[in-house]
Amino acid sequence: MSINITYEDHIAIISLELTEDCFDWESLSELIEHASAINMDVENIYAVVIHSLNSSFAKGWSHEILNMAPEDQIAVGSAFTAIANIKQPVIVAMSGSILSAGLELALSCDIRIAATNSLFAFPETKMGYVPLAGATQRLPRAIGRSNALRMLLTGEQINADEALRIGLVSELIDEERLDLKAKEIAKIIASRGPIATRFAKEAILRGSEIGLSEGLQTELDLTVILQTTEDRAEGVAAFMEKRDPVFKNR
Amino acid sequence: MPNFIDAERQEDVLILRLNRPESLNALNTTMRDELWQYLLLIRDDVSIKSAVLYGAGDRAFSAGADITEFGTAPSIISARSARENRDLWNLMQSLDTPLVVALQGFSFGAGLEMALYCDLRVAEYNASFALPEVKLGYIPSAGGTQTLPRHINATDSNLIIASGNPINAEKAYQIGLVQYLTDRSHYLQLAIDLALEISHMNPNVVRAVKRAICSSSEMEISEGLVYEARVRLSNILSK
Repeated sequence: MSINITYEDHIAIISLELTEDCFDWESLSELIEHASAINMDVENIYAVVIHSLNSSFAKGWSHEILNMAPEDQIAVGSAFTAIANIKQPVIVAMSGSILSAGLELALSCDIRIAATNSLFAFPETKMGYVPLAGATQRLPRAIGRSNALRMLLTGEQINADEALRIGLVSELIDEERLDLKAKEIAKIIASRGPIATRFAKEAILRGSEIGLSEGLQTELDLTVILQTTEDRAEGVAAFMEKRDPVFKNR
Repeated sequence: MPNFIDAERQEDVLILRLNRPESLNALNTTMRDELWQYLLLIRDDVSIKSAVLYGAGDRAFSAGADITEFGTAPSIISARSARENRDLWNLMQSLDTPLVVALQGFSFGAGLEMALYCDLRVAEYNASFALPEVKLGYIPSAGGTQTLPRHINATDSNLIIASGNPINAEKAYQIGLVQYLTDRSHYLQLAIDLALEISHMNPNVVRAVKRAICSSSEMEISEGLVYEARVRLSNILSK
């Protein structure tokens, strides 16, 4: 196993331990399995953390994947799409080198934090190929067209401060405290109404793919559904009674 | 015949200079016609792997459309059909070849809008940017209302378009309107270096990546991912 999943309270933690920091077939299928397990268990899992046990988050693809027939390479992206399709909020914590496939995985997550020693790049164009797993689509959605053109057309490596400035990550933290910080964020999210956080994620992601009026309708529909939940009644009652809510994911 | 745009070639990079410095490189009809020809050249000559655009003189990249020509068209109808027949901005946005623009001094109105059709924007510290059209009672008409919000966030683009007020280079860098900021003695060289660097990469890959990024906002993510896979595949198979 090069990717393990563990659970702490209502948080699933996916730990990468990639051979030579690269994704191979085995690790991709493990990722798909974990994503599916998380999606199937909205009952118990409220938030997800993805991090690496190696000093670098991930640096790219294995030689096997890079050398395979192009039509077979198409399948590699489905692992990151499986992560992007997780219903619960996903936090990714990165340090060291985050290159190519590593950054494509991070772009499939919702909240990105990084260690102050992090370096980010898409070296694909320099190496003469088009990214394999969503960079041209997810990077502009995350940081805008201009910054995406800059990173992908030049292959330029950017440091943690620059990543923060352009919005590639939302927070920088000392490497020693990185995992702790990711879990802190996950705990805060897991303490909120779990249906609400899933719906909020759905509304934001769906909303960025459709027109505004349709997006507002989606938000309204989800709001109406939420009004039928016990958690919403509890949340409102707790607020009125000035106490902490106790959510049941119902 | 006036020559309002100069071209020179450095390796596989075409370097275009707007050359009307006495009029702050304002775009007049002749300049538009010349730009049209050069954009066709960039589109059709595959040996041009990237291009740089900059302004002559030391005061402006371009102060926008040449206001002295306003209202000189024979009729509204002929003005409209002239624009449709030579859809300069649509041609510019459809180019797959990367464009780098070096911005000094004023980039106002159509000057800024022209820069927004480029992929990498390098500015020098004294640069300033505005879409001042509303101050003159009209709206940006070289695509600014469509392109600006695709590059920067809605809050910033709404303010720039609705106020008509200029922003300085620091602010432009901070909101992501330009990706590079340097001093006046380096900004042009930096732009040329970036274009050269890109020109040394596989041109088919570069064009495919540019097209995939620029069309990413025009389709849903699922469709976009299929598109990315398709351009990658056709790219490999065409080798």
